[in-house]
Amino acid sequence: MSEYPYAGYAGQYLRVDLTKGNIQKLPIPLDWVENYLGGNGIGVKILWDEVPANIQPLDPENKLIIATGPLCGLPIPNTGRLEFIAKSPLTGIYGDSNAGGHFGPELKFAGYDLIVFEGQAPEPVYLSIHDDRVELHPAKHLWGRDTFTTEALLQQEHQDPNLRVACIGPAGEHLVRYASIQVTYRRSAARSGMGAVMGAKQLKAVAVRGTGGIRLAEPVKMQALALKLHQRIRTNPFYRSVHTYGTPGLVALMQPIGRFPTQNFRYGSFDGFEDISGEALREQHLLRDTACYSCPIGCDKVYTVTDGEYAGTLNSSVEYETLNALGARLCVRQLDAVLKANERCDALGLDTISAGGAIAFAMELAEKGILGPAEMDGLDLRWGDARTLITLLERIAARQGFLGDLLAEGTARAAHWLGRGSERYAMHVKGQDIPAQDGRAQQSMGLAHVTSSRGADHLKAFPVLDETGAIEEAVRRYGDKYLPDLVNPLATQYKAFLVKDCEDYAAIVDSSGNCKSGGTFVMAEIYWQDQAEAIRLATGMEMSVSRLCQTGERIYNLMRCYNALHGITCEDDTLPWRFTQIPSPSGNARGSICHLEIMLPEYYRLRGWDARTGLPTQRTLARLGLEAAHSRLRAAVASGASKAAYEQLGWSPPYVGPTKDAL
Amino acid sequence: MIQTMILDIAPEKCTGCLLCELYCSLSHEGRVIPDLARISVLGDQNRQILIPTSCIPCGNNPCITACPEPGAILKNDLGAVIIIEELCTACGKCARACQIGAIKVHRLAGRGKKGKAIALKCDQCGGDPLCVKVCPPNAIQICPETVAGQGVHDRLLAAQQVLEEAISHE
Repeated sequence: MSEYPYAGYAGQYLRVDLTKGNIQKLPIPLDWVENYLGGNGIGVKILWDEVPANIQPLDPENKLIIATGPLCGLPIPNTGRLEFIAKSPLTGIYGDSNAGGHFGPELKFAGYDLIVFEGQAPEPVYLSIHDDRVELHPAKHLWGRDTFTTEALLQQEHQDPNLRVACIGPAGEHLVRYASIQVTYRRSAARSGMGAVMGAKQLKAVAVRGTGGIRLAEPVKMQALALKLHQRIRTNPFYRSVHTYGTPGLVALMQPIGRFPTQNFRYGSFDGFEDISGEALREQHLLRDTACYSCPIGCDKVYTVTDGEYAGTLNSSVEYETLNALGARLCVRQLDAVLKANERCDALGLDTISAGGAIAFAMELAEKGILGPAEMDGLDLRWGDARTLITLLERIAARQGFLGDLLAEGTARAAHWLGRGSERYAMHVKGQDIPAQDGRAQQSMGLAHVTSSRGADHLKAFPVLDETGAIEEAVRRYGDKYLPDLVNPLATQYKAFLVKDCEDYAAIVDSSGNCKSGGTFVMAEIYWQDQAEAIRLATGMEMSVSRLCQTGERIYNLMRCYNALHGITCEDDTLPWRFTQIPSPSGNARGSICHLEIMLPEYYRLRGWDARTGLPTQRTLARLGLEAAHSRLRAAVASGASKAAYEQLGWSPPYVGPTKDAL
Repeated sequence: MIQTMILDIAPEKCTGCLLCELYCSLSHEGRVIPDLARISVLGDQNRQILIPTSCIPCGNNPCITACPEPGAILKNDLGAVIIIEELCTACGKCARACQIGAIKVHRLAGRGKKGKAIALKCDQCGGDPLCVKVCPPNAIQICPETVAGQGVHDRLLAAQQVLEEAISHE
């Protein structure tokens, strides 16, 4: 193969037809990297081109894309990230999920930037990649195994302890709609149910080992830039605390501002927060600090439980999200039980956020009398019952019993199917369970949940500036003209601007292969300018900040267009009633609601989207080189195809009122 | 007399980020290719144990004794044990002699005396090792031999034995 025009990339990708067992090695089209960079960008481009709206997420015609980006594997900080992209079984629209760890760089060392899986294997298989040697193998002996065992068996089978594995557990095999893909070492690509897509394709695992290298356009300059960025991160004032506690350090910070969702989002503060805080976690359970590939921060850790009912539990990368979803959201305050539940989610291959959301939903239905005793499968659904939590996780992963099967569908679909007023307790946006933020306590986050391209999510915009008021960071990015409102979590002014800018930058980070939790959003030492410089030195591509901004916008707009093909409009850009109708009872947010009605119109205006439909205008799409997307979208709306696709999604928009059941 | 410098490795501090491997390969090979790094991090499946492994050097220098090619492996002025690529036949005797596995033989076209393969090991980057510079938890330091001495080699060897036992239990 002749040398790829751009360094930084491996330059080729794998297309694996699981139906026929056919594997192709293909050069990456230049249009993909020049206009969409990599990762999510190329992922949404492939979905747009190859997976039409009438295809259901679990159909063989859906595609699963495993994608790295041009910075993945490179010397700048935190380049272990990779993306899984497919139409989501949870939401029915654009879906993706991101994981750290060590798999992404290894795929590039083996010589591939991405893998596109299509079709459906007639029986369980796994894909092994050893540099040039790429093979499908039977996986009957792995089917039914948990993710840890699967990884260990593959490493034994290939006699290679350095084999990097991405695999599903029983939850993915049983098509649980929020099944995760677990990646070496114990990192989770969990949102959007990408594991169920693997399950439907009967693809148990991908195992990769690469001994090749990645060429850089300007290796000497790249090394100098990378060393400078490492130094800046390591001397950032927040470095010590982010390293020490990782995301669990947020528990104690979110509690006083009323942004620590409790009891299915009824409250924003939790009485038992100290029991499940980052401080308690480190003090009682830390075994050692670990890190993803090329990460100077190391928010990843190994935690163990050494005594009591849950002795023998071992976790890595316990996150803030999990402490909330499996802790406060269910009123569970036993940290060792939360760790056990987290370990089981990783072993079974479940998203902790949606699993916690589904169980909180069930507990609230039990409290409200919507679920009858006969429907509880003998479980005690009282708030705070840790044993129920752990039992339910097992049942969900196996789709066992009425409740296990119901909750495996995800909160939004479960509510849509069940009816009986259960809809008001399904805390979701576009079918995706809301993560551990509260738009009443942080206005920008409420907007971010609504505008996220994969349904309720914090990471598509990740507007961390107004969480606890990062003034210096705000000034560094935008000057002081937006202060003090920009960093005030309760103010709505400038939040549409913040969310839009962050979404565009996050689309770039997710397409480049570096990390939002270390160096780009949290401790944002790498922002537009440095990111553009890093891409230029890595690839040799002409990359200005304005071109990068436009690329971010292009990616985000194409995601919106893809969702619009499935009938998504401004009608779906809404939060459940708890956030917009019921004033927060907690912390600094007491008395506040989320003001979408102020922020959303401003957001549409900044995006160049039609205020009446919430869809990108012809002018906006033309500016981004997406003229063809506009005509396709217009045709889909005119023919009724997008409306027909919408009816297949399987969920209804969240309940918005009236609010006769306060709290 | 020139002070001999050694790598002082503290495995308990290592986070497994592999920045040492990445930068080692970048500075020696001009591209990112951790497989050709002169340092490698060993560990178990759950990373309860992590051991950055590189030439200390140990002081006994069994690699030098084992080498059949005169002058192919030697101690330089700074006390680092280095391989002279043009003289190395990639016979692998040094790699087998090293107790901690700090030398690896790679098949690489155009490299070594026979133009087919080469033994690679740490050369301390001429006195200012990059791995030391980039290691975030400071698990790798460079210091005079008199400070740390033979202890580092023996500690690594002991840690590797513990790792082997742990892996066999997994």
